[in-house]
Amino acid sequence: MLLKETADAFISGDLKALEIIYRETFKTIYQLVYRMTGDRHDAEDLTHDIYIRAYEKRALYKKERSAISTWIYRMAVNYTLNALRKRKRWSNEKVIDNSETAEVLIEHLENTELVAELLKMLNPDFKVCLIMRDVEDMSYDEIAKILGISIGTVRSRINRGRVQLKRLFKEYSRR
Amino acid sequence: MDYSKFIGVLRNVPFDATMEQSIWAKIYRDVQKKNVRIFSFADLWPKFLVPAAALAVLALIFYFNYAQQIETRNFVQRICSTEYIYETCKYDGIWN
Repeated sequence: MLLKETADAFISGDLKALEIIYRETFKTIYQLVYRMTGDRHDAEDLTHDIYIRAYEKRALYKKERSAISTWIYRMAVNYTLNALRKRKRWSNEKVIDNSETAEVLIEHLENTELVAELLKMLNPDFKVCLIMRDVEDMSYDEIAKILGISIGTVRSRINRGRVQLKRLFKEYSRR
Repeated sequence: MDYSKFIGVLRNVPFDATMEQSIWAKIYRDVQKKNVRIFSFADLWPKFLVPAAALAVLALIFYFNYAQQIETRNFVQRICSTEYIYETCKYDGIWN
């Protein structure tokens, strides 16, 4: 596989190898970060930072343990989670301007931006599990391995995330 | 909006090749600018070789110097002891 062959060159600091890895993984990483942040600019900045970080930390990559794409994906999840925790953008207290009518809100709900707004209100730990499971169709086992938590915790976070999202849907539809 | 629609919207992330290219250009620029270096042991050990050798030599000098001091101290203690003086003087006929 292309990425496996590139891993050695990447570890030794080859920029060409970094580019190959970037081309192979960019779409997945960007989409993950976008889904977690709900903001295009944030997603672009974080994606940039993730690859810089991956390059800086390349000595820590162990090719026997996982594919380089999995390693970068794991790094992306953790990096984005940390960024979200720092910004505390997921606050449940956040509300949309009251002047908007219910019809307008419902219309907006079909809009990606408003979905992103809802996402911002979700707890980042629940959100990442929800995205990996329901959007990216990953197994519980894969999620647990990537996040370094137990399968039970993954299940619990997904359930709690769905409950929180359901509550947010209700709150918005009441307006 | 129901949950499946919500997930459907999430699956549809706006994406274009121009953005991919522009982010790569920034990554490339920053990696080169920062000259990000790998700090592995393999890279670092030659830098520590000379100081480590110097330290080892100093440790040896200190050790032998200290050993010499101990030996001298023991010798002085021995010849200065009352017992030694008594024995020596006795045999030399000074004591009696």
